[in-house]
Amino acid sequence: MDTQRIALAGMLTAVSMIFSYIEAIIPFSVGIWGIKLGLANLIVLSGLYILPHRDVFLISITRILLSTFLFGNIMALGYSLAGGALSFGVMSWLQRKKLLSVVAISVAGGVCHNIGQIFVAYLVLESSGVFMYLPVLMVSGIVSGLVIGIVSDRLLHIWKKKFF
Amino acid sequence: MNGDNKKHPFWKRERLFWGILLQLTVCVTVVCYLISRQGGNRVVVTIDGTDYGSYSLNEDQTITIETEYGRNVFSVREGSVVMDMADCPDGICTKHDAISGLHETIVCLPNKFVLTIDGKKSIVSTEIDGVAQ
Repeated sequence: MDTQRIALAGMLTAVSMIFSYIEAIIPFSVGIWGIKLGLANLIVLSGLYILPHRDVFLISITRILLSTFLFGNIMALGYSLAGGALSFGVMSWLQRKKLLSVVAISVAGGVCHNIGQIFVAYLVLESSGVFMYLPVLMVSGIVSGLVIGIVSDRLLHIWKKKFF
Repeated sequence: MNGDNKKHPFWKRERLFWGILLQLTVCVTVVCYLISRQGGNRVVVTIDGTDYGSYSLNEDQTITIETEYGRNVFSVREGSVVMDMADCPDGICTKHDAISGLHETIVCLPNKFVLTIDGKKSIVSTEIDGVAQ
């Protein structure tokens, strides 16, 4: 059982690294600062259903650190960590309580990720103007959360049938 | 996966979640829209949290500012502000749409450089025309 857990955690870390790389080489910018699909969130979200949450948290942090050092912008590390931690916290709590569907949890995580980044931007830049980005970032969080959530839902159905 | 272990059935909670989220998003959007609709008369430059200077929106001008964090060039055209150049690696701020509404902001994260539209009447430093201090 333990071996399976370690192997799975390692594999998910590798896959989320590849997702980060794909996002880094395909520029996905729509005129406004910092909007991303967040493919790696697919791994965090699905992982919450098949691994202990502590493992998923470590996968997420490892992924952020490694991908930032390898092909990310070191300046953005604080933003990534804050967004990642907040969205992980919310998704982990919702998943443990079994309150909502996969898609809803994904959307909540996406929105929280962006709100966390705005707060870090506010702390770093000390400019309240960054809160004017809230509408755009909330909508983008909802849209990307929907996409990731739907894919994750399908993925979990297949996984549960085949492997667990 | 869909535990019905609480008082409310699953679909009710689900509907509540989407309802609150939708209302919250609409509220935030409306508030931000109402604020930005007021318009402003000057653009304030903030670098690493400190006010650097402000420039009138009434006259067209191009301003270059060079600091320890990097170089940014922005211009005022017919009351709107765009970032023309930034020497940061991603240059996301240069792709940002022009801003003209009150408190609208362009951020250049790597250079800690922020442009914000302000509406206060006092225009501090219109004399500084295209010259970095």
